Amino acid sequence: MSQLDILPESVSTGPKHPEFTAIYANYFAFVWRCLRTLGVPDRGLDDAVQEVFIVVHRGLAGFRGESQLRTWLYGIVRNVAYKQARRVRRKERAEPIDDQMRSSEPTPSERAEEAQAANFVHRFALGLDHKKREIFMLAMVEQFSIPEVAEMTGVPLNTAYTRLRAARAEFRAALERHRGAHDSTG
Amino acid sequence: MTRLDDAEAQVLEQARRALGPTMQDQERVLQSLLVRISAPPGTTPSPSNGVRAKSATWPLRAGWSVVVIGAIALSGGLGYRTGFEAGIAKQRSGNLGTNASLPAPPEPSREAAPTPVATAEHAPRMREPDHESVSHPPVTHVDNAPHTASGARPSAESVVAIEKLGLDEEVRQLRRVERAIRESNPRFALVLLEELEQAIPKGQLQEERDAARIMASCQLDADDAVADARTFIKKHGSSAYRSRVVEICRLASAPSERISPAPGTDAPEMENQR
Repeated sequence: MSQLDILPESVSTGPKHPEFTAIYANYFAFVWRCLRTLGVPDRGLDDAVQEVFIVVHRGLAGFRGESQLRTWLYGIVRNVAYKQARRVRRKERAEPIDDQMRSSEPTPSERAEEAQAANFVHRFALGLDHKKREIFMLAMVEQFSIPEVAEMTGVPLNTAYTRLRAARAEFRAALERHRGAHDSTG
Repeated sequence: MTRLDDAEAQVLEQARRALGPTMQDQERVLQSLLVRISAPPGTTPSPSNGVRAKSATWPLRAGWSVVVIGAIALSGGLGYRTGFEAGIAKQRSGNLGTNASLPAPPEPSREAAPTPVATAEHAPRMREPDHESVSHPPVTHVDNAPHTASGARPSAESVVAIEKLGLDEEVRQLRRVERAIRESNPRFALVLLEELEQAIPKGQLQEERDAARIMASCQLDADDAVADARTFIKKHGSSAYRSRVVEICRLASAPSERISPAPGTDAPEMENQR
């Protein structure tokens, strides 16, 4: 019997099921970044991440095959992200992106630079239409290959290439504008 | 397709790091998640109250925390190299008299941003079904080896195989410990050591465990840490961990305690091997 077959509905036997823990450990950062980049506001991020892993936990028993794991997981992430984003944004108007960025403690310059880059990339991604956004996020932020991205998003390979090309061009232009603005103020 | 220039790649790399979660994020979500998962059907706690919820499930959550945090460490999100290689290799060759080379540690392909493809492949318990049976292995002693259904003892080969698998598991767990020490996370190192003690109480790498415990205790400035370090040095004069114990416990700072490395020993300095 596969290890995945014995995962129970609850964690009453907890530590005997390393698969879920391995998935949590290995995919947490991926899930977190995807949810953020797909537009889940920070105030809803914890709940959204939990939601993803609860679905994973419940569905793991029926899951087969490692090659589909990330596709399956990303499908969950995508559903939760859109549902959560809709829910939060319905409640209250979205705050300006800068306010949504996580407040950062005073940090060394390198951390500040990273936060600035994250702010820029996050804002850029949220400005893309959702089809290009997920291609941008998976291919450029998460660095999956285009065939992988096509598989995960369920779009034809050529479509994925086309969207990526467009997203890259927009990214380049946005970065140049950003640099220009930064240079002129600096 | 247009290639990214260096500046673009750099911005994306920085963003990847900063958009990712912190360890605190990971632990906070884990606590809430465990509350939600372990709640009886129909009593799903409010997600936002999860962290604060106290229930009778705390031992379960604590146990899971250890496992998950251990898995997090093992997954190698920050990129790390082997720990305890020299001593372990020595121990392995000494104890088993066979293959003295260690299995290559999981080598994460991305720093701080494990991707599903890369990290799933490096998740040992998903990729190495043979090792499932030794996540809490029956440890290593022929006298304690389980009898087969027919009452016959397993063959010598199978006993050696069990020993080797148990040692592999022990090595893996000690690498997590070593990594925690290297990252100045002594409390986590001690938690992992405790977990190791429970999983493999009579392991073959006691010297490594002792060294790790002492180094972690010294990092915490624990009361008896320095005394324990001196005892360790006295007991294991030629230990491969001697110089690290001396350094971390600052035994060399007092002239009377200055200890020169034992001849022929190479301390397993891991700090520069990341």
